[in-house]
Amino acid sequence: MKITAKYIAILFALSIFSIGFFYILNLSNRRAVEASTLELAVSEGKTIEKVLGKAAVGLLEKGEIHLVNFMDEIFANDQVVYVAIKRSGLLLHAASKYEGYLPLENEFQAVKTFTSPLGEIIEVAAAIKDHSGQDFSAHIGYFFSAIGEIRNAAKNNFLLLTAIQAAIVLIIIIFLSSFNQQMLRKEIEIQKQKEEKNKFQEISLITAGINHEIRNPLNSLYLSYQMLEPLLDHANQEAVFHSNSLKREIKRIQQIIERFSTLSQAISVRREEIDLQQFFVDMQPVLAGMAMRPEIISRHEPEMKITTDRSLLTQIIANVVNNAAEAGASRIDIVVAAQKDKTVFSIKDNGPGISKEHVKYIFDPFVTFKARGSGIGLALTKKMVLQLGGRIEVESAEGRGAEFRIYL
Amino acid sequence: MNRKKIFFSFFLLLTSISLLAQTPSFHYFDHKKLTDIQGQVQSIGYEEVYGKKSEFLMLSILSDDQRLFRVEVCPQWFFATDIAVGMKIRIHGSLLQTSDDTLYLIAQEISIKGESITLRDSKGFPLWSRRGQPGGHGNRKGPGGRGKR
Repeated sequence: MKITAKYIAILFALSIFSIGFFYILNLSNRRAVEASTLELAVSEGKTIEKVLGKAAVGLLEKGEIHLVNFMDEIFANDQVVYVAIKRSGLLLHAASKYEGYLPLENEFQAVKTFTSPLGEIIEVAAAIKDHSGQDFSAHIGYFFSAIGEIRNAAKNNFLLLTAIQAAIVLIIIIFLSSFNQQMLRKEIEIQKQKEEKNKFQEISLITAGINHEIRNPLNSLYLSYQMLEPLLDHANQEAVFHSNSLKREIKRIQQIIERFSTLSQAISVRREEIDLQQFFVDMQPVLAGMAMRPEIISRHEPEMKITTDRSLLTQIIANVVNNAAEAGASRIDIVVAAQKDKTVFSIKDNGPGISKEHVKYIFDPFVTFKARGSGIGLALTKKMVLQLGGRIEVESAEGRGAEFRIYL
Repeated sequence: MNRKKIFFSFFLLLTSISLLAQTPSFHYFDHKKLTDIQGQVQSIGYEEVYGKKSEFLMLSILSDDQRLFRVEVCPQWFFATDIAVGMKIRIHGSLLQTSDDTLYLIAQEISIKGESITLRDSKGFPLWSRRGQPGGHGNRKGPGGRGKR
């Protein structure tokens, strides 16, 4: 988990860095576009200033009125915000499209820019001298709507680009994070399976040893019993009782050894397509043969089919149902449903349930919470489910029954 | 004493009326000549100060130092605050030099009864004008102002 936290921290830092990097990149790009458009406008202004200066000198030779009319003609242009003519520093003529708005920033420079609510205004001033040597200056304040549009486009592109890049970075980070989580989950799952396999291997070895050590003396014992049995006085009831008891216990030990062997032996799988309708019909005699006879109700979608090992599936369901019946359930509901690419068998009972502490050991071999259990049934069930490539889980609370879910 | 007061008030009224009639032929908001005045409203009027554009609210103000100002406020539709003769008022604006030495002020910000109303930005751009459209409302060319020859 420490690795995950570190990994997420790295991803987070990486995402912040990437978004920051793209933000700065886009911002500098935006600033460059803005600066170059303004530069373009200023260079245009310089050209205008030269043309204006030359035109104004010519017009002044004809008299001031010609210059004023010329400026009024310029003022008629949509882009022009104001015009002004100064004579020896004093205002001679002015016109503004906005009531009284005449910033006249430009006293010394030929071209000057300043911001206004209209956008960036460019003020051009041309210094003129008439034939008598009097100083005039003509001022035009104008703006290029195209500059505003380019600037707005640059701003919008900047925001859009940054948002898209941030979204892409976040998607990549989320994907990587999710992928990492999945890998981690898989790793844990593999580790768990490995541990269980090891546990089963150990148990198999022990069980195989016990089998070997007990099976032979037990066979001798049973042989001796079979030899003694005909010599028994059948009129002696006490002798008959003890003889039967001996036979029963020998059989029971044999059965236990047989089950131990099953647990330790490898399970072979033979898959086939099974029609569930027919499967549950075939299971009736198996379930009916149980010592306890709970009410069993099975439900599934019509014509539902599953490809698996028929024999193992029968044993799995029989084991779980038997476990519930032995625990004291009077009703067991088996519901089969398709879930994504799996078929889920839900086996729910109304038994006494399993306590929270016991639930985690319920599938461990030789662990039983029943008076006469061997602790093999559910362990074997789990082994068979795993062999089929599935998984089994249980949900239960004390006094509220239990639900086993088998995913195949 | 009462006669003096009546005479003075009458004199002020006449001066105010005559001042309202004196609008410089061309004037502009000079952001380098800003000043503050505080005084009392002497008269309220409406006038076409920028050609055929909306009528402007014009005030004559007697400042606390007993100087009479003619104040150009804004188009009357833009001014939604109640104002009445006798009210105390504070004005921040650009002071113009007129040929007849009238004290003419183009208001940038007005404070009445603790309420402050901004009319123009720092460079004198009128806040009632639609942004980004030369000419704003009114005709395309706009009257602007016509200078003195």
